Formats: sequence, C-alpha cells, structure tokens
Amino acid sequence: MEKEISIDHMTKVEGHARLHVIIEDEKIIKCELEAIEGARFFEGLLLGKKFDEAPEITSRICGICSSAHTIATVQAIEKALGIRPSKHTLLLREALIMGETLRSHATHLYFMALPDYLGLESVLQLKEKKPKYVDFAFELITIGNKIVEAVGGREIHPFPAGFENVKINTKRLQEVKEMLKAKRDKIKKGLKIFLKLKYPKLIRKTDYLCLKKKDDYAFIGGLLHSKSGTIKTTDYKKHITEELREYSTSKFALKDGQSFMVGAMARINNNYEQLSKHAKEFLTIKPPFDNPFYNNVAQAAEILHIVDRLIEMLNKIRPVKKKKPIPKTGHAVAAVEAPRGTLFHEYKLDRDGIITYANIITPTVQNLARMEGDIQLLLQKIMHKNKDEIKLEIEKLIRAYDPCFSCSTHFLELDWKEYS
Amino acid sequence: MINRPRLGVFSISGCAGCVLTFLSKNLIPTLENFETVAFPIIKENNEGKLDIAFVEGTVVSSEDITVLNEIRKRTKTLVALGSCACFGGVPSIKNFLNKTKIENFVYPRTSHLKSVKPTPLNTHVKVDYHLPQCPPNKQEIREFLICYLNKRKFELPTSSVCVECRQKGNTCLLEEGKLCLGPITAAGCDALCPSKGVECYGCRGPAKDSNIKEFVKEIKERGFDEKMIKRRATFFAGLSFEKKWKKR
Repeated sequence: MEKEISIDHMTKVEGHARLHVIIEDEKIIKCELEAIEGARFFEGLLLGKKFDEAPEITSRICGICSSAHTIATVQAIEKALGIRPSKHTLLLREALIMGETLRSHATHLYFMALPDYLGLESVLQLKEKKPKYVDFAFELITIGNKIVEAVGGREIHPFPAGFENVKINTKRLQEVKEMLKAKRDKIKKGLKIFLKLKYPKLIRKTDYLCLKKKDDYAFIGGLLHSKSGTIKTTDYKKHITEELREYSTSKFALKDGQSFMVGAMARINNNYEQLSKHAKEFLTIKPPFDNPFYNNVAQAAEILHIVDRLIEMLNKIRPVKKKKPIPKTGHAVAAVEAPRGTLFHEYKLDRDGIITYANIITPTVQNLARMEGDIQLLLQKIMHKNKDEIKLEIEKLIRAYDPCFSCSTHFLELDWKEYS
Repeated sequence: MINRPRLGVFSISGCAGCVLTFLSKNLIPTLENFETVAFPIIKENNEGKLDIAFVEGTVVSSEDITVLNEIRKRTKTLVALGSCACFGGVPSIKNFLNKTKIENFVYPRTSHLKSVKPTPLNTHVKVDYHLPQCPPNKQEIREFLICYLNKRKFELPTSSVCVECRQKGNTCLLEEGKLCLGPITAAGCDALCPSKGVECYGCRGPAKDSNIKEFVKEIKERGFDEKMIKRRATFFAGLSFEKKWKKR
C-alpha cells in the first residue's frame, strides 16, 4: 500500500511552508519540507549599497528577529572596518537582542504552541477559556517591546545600535528593571506550565550548535560551539554548507555533512552552566535534552535567564557616543544568537565602504534538515493513526522548532492519497 | 456582540513585522469589536467570507498572486498594510538593479522560485486602503479601525515628514549633511526616524504636497547629486517615487 501526505499552507509559523510525504509498505520513501515563501533576494539587494545602509535592508528579513539581523550586520561590518565596539555598546546590543528574544519566545510559546497542547484551535480560544495565560503572555511581550523601543528607537526594525550616536531612553529601562524585579516570581511560576505539558516522546541524538562564552550565556559574542568542538566564526563556511533543494525556496544547511540543531534547546544544552540562578532552578527537568519538543521548555527557561540578566544590567546602560566610521576595504563574518538560533552575516567591502559580497545564513535554514529527519522519525511512530492525529502531531513538532519561513504556521491542510 | 465585522490578517512574502504589530496589547480592545475569522500566523482554521482583510508583504512570486487573488475574492474591503504591501518595500529595490545578476548571486538556479517583478498589492488587485510605514504605525492602525467601525472616512496626511519634524523642533538632518528624504516623504509617522537622528528613507512613500523639483535643487546645493537621491528613494517605495519623479 502506498500513502501520499501533503500538508499545504502550513501557517502559524513565521512564513509559508508545506510538507510532502510518501509512504510505501510502511516505509517513508519521501519526506520533503518545502518552504514556499517567495524569494526576496536580500543578499543581492545589498550589493552596491554603502555599509551604513545595510542594516536598513537586513532588518527587513524578519520582523520577529529584526534586532538580531541588525546587530549581526553592524558587528560584521564593524569587524570589516577594524572597529572594536566598546563594552557599553555591547551591553546595549545585548539588551536589544534579549528584549527581542523575550518577546519572540513569549509569542511562540503562548500564541503558537500552547493552544495545541490544551486542545484549542488558537490563542483566540485560549483567551476565551483561560484568559490569564494570554494576559501573562502580553505582559512578557510588552516588557520585550519596551526594551527594544528604549534601546532601538522602535519596537520592530530598530535603529542600528552602533554606527553612530544612539539615543537611549534610560528612564524607561530603569522602569522596566523595577517591573521585572517585581514580577520575577510571577514569571517563574507562570512559565511552569511548559514543564508540565505532555510532550510526545521523540528521542534522537543530534549535534547542537550555538555561541559559547566562558563566563556568560552568549547572545552576541563568543565562539561557535558544538559536540565536535569549537569553531571560529570566520571558519563557519568550512563546516556549515548550504544546499539547494528543487522543492523549496529555502536553502538547507548541513554541519560537516550532517543535520544539526540551533536555537534555545541547543543553547540550553551547550550553555547550561552559564544560565542564571532562577533559570537553573526553573529547570526541574535537567538538560541535555534530546527531544525536539523540549525546545518549548528551553525557551521558557531562557525567558527566566533573560529576566535575571536584564535586572542585573539595565541600569548600567547609557547612551554611547561614536564617530561615524571611515570606509575602507574589509571582509568579515559575525554570528549572533537570534531567538531561533545562530545567525551568520558575512560582508566584503571595497575601499569606499560599498558592499561587494554578502552571505546570510538564518537559524531556520540550519534547522530544516534536522526538522525533516525528526518528522520522519515521528511518522514512523504515528503512521497508523488517523489523519487528524497525524496532522496535529506533525504540526506540534514543526511548531516546537519555532521556524521562521518568514512567518509561518497554523493551518495545515493534509491530503491523503491511498493507492493499492 | 452580534454582527461584528469579519476580520482577516494575512501575509504574502514579507517579514511578519506588520502582522505582529496586530498582536499588540493596545490594539486588543479595538480588535474585540471584530470577529477574527482568518489570521494564519496564530490560527488553525482560516476559512470563510470576510468583511475586511489586512495584507502585508510584497508580491514576489506567482504563488503570492494566487494567494492575493483568493483573499480579494473573499473580502469586501482590502487594506494594504505596511510599506511592502503599499509600495513594494525593501524587496522592490530589485527593480532598480540588474535582475539576473541579483538572482544568480543568491540562487545558482532560479526556475523553481517562480519569481515575478516585486510589486505592491495594487499592481495585481483593487486595494481599498493603504496603511504605509515600516513597521506600520500602531496608532494609525487603531484610528483606521475606529473609522471603519464608525463608517467614518479615513484619510492619510498629504503633507511631508519635514512638516512634522519641524513641529517637533528637531535639528534638520540635511543641515548635518545627512541625505534625509523627509521633505518629499508623506507624513504620518510623527517624524520618528529624524527625531532619533536617523535620516528618512521614505518608507511612507512620496508626499502628495511635496515638490521634488525644489527638493532636488536644494539638496544639490548641499553636495548630493540627483542619482544619490533617486537611489536612496528606492529603499522602501522606489516604484512610487519613480512615478512622481517622471511626473515632475
């Protein structure tokens, strides 16, 4: 017997994607995850642009992680121009990326993931049945928004923290700090639901990649770390290769020829030691995690880490005075931890500071191959179930990765075709 | 709460920044006057007729055209949300570059992408309202929704960012030698970028009341040439600025 499953229009993830599966004699002979997001050719758009124009363009790759793209661009270009950002500048960027990650994780956990586990269609139903969850999510999102706005000038697509003088709303940051202090226990208690959800059992070993620092939970600096050892950011292309698959508008990345995972779970697995006190206390289930569904747990723990870290650092942030950089020839790579995982930006500049080469590898591109592998593994376990159950389980798995096909995923339409 | 207008919030190829703006605490009270029928980024079921649909993103592939046509068929009112939907946005920069070079730089093979010329929604379907800006202005979305609910007329400002910027008493960025498009860009953002010391890139598109000829003359005196201004104007609303340029 042959079965063909295609899931059209995955929505409720950032972006557009579909899945195509063919099963023959209880064997999966095809499992293709297809990004159908239209190609916007960002790297091409950057060619011929002046270095300081680049963040205006790259932040528009993604509205959910626009701060991460902005910072990756600025840090790569700074390196290419031989500029070393000050401690204060780095602190400012760390606050920006943490504010964004807090908001992104909260949006994913409560608006996209949680309704599935409570048997609800959407966050709109959740709001009717359990409004406290949605109110809580909005509290977290609002805190994230306030930080990004205070540091970056607006909630989405922040102004590039770094090329020139940055106007910071320090009063607002102080308010947020006090708010976080007052709410920390409530946040810790509120997030506990993600420890208690019934996650499907799907254990597999894979390699986890993220930035790592000795004495800090890395978001914007450090070296790349995985089980095969440490990699210099500049050597990323020697290890991470992108391949094109005819069925998808997205590229698929492999690390040393194998699928791998980036994102909150990879960071928690590799950097558990560097987590804050409350985040460690929160994790009553101890990492390392080998079940991709636990990415939800990892995101919840990261929210607590971010809360702790922000309380520690928000009053240290102050405006930074900088001179406009002088253009020169250069070539550099920067990696930052975006909410969904390691993000690479690489640029070459000519002597006028004009971009002559750009390469960007996003977290979702790196997770796609592993996601396909996990879907296959899950299908083997659940192929005997009915159409609706299979659909929900696959959707839950894909959502756990929190992919960003440039915005994706709720309605999965599942077509069954059975041949005899 | 019977007979609430049926709302849809969609994205074609874009960054989700606009639809995320809808998931904002301050917009919720206004949105509760609507029945959210379709909102794929947060909803499993998205079927049914609509009274009003918001769409973000740029048309960059034949798939986008199909999706957009489907939305148009099922809604009474269609609103282009954000600079991509209104003007083509950042992806439309491609129209001013060597298309083949750009495409091949990013993808060695391009046939499977089904790419089309990056264009705003109204190139393909009838658009009833435009709410430009990148990211969109929450306050303006709220005002628009209230106008819609009360059947009041909604109009965008016709003056330029420069007017708003002066009202705020900001130092002029042109005076600082920055290439600011404030004088020719439509107001409505409360001069957000110039107030932060960042030059205007024209994300609300050309201002109806602006005089491009005068602007070019003035800015040439400051050492910029027409080519630089035109290039800067391609970032968010290149196609619209180009039209205005030709009319001049």
